[in-house]
This record gives sequence, C-alpha cells and structure tokens, in this order.
Amino acid sequence: MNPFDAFVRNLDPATGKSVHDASATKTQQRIDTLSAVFPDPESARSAAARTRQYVLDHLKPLVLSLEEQCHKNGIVVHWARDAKEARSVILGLCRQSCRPGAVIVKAKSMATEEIHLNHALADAGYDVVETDLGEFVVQLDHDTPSHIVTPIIHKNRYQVARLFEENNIGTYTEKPEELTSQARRHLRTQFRRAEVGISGVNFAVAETGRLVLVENEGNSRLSTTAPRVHIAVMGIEKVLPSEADLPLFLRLLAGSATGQRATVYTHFIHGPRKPEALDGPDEVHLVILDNGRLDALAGPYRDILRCIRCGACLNVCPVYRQGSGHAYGHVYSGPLGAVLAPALEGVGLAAIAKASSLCGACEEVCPVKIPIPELLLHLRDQGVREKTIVDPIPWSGFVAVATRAYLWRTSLQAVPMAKLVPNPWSRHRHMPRRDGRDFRRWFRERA
Amino acid sequence: MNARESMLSRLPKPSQDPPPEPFQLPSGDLSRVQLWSQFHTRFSDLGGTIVTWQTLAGLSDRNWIVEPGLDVGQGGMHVDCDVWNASVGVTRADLAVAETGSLLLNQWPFSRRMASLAPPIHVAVINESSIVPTLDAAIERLERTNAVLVTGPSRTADIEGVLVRGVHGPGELWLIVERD
Repeated sequence: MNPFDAFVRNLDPATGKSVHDASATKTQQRIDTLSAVFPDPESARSAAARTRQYVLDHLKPLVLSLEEQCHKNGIVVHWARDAKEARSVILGLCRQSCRPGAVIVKAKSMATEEIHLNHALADAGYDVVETDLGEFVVQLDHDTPSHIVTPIIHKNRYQVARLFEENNIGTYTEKPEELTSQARRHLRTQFRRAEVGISGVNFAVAETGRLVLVENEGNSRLSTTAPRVHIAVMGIEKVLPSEADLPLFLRLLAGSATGQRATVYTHFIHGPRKPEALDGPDEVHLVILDNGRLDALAGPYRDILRCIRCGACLNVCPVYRQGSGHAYGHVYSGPLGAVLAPALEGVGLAAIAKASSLCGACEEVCPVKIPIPELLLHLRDQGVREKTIVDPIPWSGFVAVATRAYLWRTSLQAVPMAKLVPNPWSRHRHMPRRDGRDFRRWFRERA
Repeated sequence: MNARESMLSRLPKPSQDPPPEPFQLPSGDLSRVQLWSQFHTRFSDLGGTIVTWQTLAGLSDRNWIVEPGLDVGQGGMHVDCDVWNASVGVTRADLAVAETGSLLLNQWPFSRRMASLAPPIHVAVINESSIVPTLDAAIERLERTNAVLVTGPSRTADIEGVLVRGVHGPGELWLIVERD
C-alpha cells in the first residue's frame, strides 16, 4: 500500500470531515468571488499565466533588478543555495541582532517551513514564536501545517481548546471567538518582547524592489513592524516585473485562496524606517532562496514555479479532501505539492504523484494555469522509469494479462466470478453488474 | 564561488521579449458620489463603520494614540504614548479604494504604523477627494514609502472556518470622511 492510502485509512473521521467540509466551502467562495471581481476570469488567468511564465523565462535580469532596487531602498539582500545555507544566513543575522533567549516572532511562511528554520533557531537558544493563529496552534501541538493557507484545516475547536488549556493559554472554551482572543493576549506579550521578525514574501517587484505580503490577521504586520529587525525569506521565483502587475495578482491570490476581493492587509514594504520616522524596523533583510528551484527551472517541471501558493488546487482536489496535507508527507501538499516536492527535491519523491485521480480540477482552478495533471503524468512516467515508483503486484499481473489477447479474452469470462474474491476495493464499492453478453460477442453477432 | 554568483550563473540567458502588458480592470466612469457609495457598501460588508468626530467623543475616557499632526479636537482625553496600551489609534488614510472597500495608509515621516495596528479600535481619517475606483489606480499612486492597504478589520477563519474579527490587528475599523 502506498503511504498516502495508509495515512487515509488511519485518519480519524472527525479530521477527515474538517478537511473535507472546509475545502468544499472554500472552493465555492473562490468561484463566487472571482466571477464577481472579473468580467472574464478566464482572461485574467491567462494574463497571469503569461506574466508568471515571462518571469521564469527572464529570471536573471528580474532578480538582478530586484537586488539593485532593494539595495537603493536600504534592504540588504542575501543569497542562499540550499536550506542549510539559508538557515545559517538567518541564524547569523539573528546573532548579530540579539542574544540567545531573545524572542523571534514569525509570520506564516512556507519558505521558512521548507527550510525547517524553527528547529535551527530553537537549537541556537532562541524563543521562536509562530504568530499566525493556525501556525501558533501547530507549533504548540508539535504538529505540522496540513494546508499551505489554512494550516489547521485538520483540527476542530475542541482540539484547539484542549491544547490551549494544557499550555495555559486560557481556560477551556468551545467558542472560536474566545479561543482567538486567548491567542491574541498570549501573543501580544511576545510581539512586545520580540527583537527579530521573520516573514515570507508573496511578491517582490523587480522594478522598484518592493516586497509585498498579504495576510488577514495582522500578525504579519506586527512581525514586520514592531521588532527592530525584519528578515524576509523568498523563493527566487517569486518576482513580478512591475508594480502594475500587482493588482491582477493580488486579486487572483485573495480570490483563489480565501474568496476575498482583497486580503485584510496588503503590505508594500519599501525599506527600513527612515531616520525621522516614528516606528518600523531599523533593518530589513531579504534572503533569496534556491533550494532546488534552479534545478526545477531547468527541468521538465518548470511550470510549477509559476505557482503563487493560493491553495485553490488543494481545496478542489478530491484526493486532498480525503486525506489532508499530512498524507503527502511533505511541507507542500495537494496537487501543487505532488509536483513541487519532487521538482525541488528530486524524483525520489515521485510516488506522491500517484495520489491523484488525474481528474483535472486542479488545472481548472489554477490562477496561473499550471498544467498539473500533465506534470503529474510526466512525473509518474519518470518515477516508473527510474524505479522510484514501484507498482503493486496486482498491476503487473494486470499488465501481463491485458497485453496478451488470448489471456485477456479468457480472463473476461472470469469477471463475474471476481465478486467472489474478497478484496479491499469492493468493501466501499460495487462491482458493475454484468448485463448479458460481452462486447466481443455482440460485435461478432451484430451483422 | 559565493552563493550569489553560483545562483546567478545557473539562471538561463533570457530572450529579448518585452514583458506582457499588465492586466487592468476597466476603471469605469463613476462619479465621486457613486464611488463613495460603492466604497461604503464594500467597507460595511467587511465590518468597517463610517463615523463622525462626535462618535469619538463617547470614547474620551479611553487611552488614545493619535498620529502627530492630526487634531482630534477633543479636550481632556488621555493621549497615551505607549501604543501597546492604547484602546484607540487615530491615523490618516491616503486613499480609499471603491473596488475593494480598502484604505491605503502610507508611512510618512510623521506616520505611526503601530497606531493603525496595535489598538483594538483603529480610526482612519480621510479627505473626501481621496477616492480611486480600482486597485490598479491605487497601486499606480504608491509612493516610495512603506505602505499598507487595509481592507476591513483584522480577521481569521483558522478555527473551523468560523469568521472571527480582531485577531492581532484592530477588530474595529472606523472611518471619518472629511470634506475638502
């Protein structure tokens, strides 16, 4: 059994239901919003796909321009080839700014999840605090996010309430409003003490060096405004050519991710505080991360780098809905993750490309029109050729029979008897009822 | 080779194609009154409230943090300088965006970013003439400063998808529109 199936089989029904219901709701909200925002959503998606493709084709001049503009604006740019190098750059910046024991606040960021930054900072003695409500819960529970946008899609209010009670965040309550205000109170003290704030980047504008971050809660604003030092971490592909490209992408991201016309807060970060300004960080650092992206860019899965991390393909995916993100066993889950994870880390992870029915819903909702099913097929092909995908024995048996005409004919006669063989497949499904003659006989006797 | 050079050397040589034309939504030809009406609908749907200076008088016993240069015109209120202890933060807003019901706040030298962020109530003050139809128009007018586009009160739906306002940012967003 592949790991995905094994995970789903052991998933408790409450978790399965949380994931399924939330995904279905978000899919509907996405449709409602995008059709209200764009007179022709299809042309918006095509335009976004073109721009993202242009970025991938022109990454070198765009990233160089970004670096130059950031430098002019007072943002210090760092480069990191892999996760280890990124961690050491960030740790170095933290050590320059504060002593071990200091509080470092983090805004939700998939890039920092990808490089497993929290462990490295904690090992160095820092008190790292995730401040997005969902990420805070994940961190308290020593869990991992199960969705790139809504990290605790797999948890319900009772689980959150028990967790808060156990960790002395607040007394047990089943009201989401009260749980939220307990987290607010607790995290307030962390924001006040924090000396460094770490965030991701949604878009970086090559033309002006502006870093754009979106969020709904305000934790990302606090993390990038209150502490003395702000460190932003971005995948090298997250560039957009100009500021005029932003409106389309902001609309598509908010609409596709959470069904909003605009997220509550969209930050346009231009640089550190000016000497005369009343607040804001004294230092802003940007870490540009490769970590497999340049390999992906040169390979057959480069289209996946168009991704803007909206999570719409997770929400719509019938396989994701059954299993949650944890079933994929990687930071990036869902249809996006099934391509991105192996694209970044090598075809050794290709087996998760099997967790798909190839129904094509992911491509239909993708705001940048990534041909995910095509990439999954290619990945399966490569996985089988390089033997990182090993088909279960029944499939090789099927191939042996199906590729030999006489065996196939004989075996068709035996299909009605298949009902008698106990197999896990038929536990939740019915075999089709055979209605009289088979096709071959019908075809022969047709005349 | 350092990280920068090694990463740059792996980026392919680009073609000379010009970038695709940025996509724009038509800005329409609504009058200022119509734009404010559209803004009002969106802003209220999000949970924002349009108020007057009189409304604020009822909060004169709370801790306030007021952006320098703004005359709140109320005697006797306690204008606290510790932004973390303030209940009400009053700041200017530079633009209103009718399409999304958003407010654009630039960080000018006199601005206080934390005043629109830390207190549970954020009151923004805007000129009636400072309204634009679309996000495209708002972003065209970004200055070379830090800025934030605020679209409704702080919110989350992380716990079971239930909408809760006021997570980390203000749960109340009030707007005062001043005649020019």
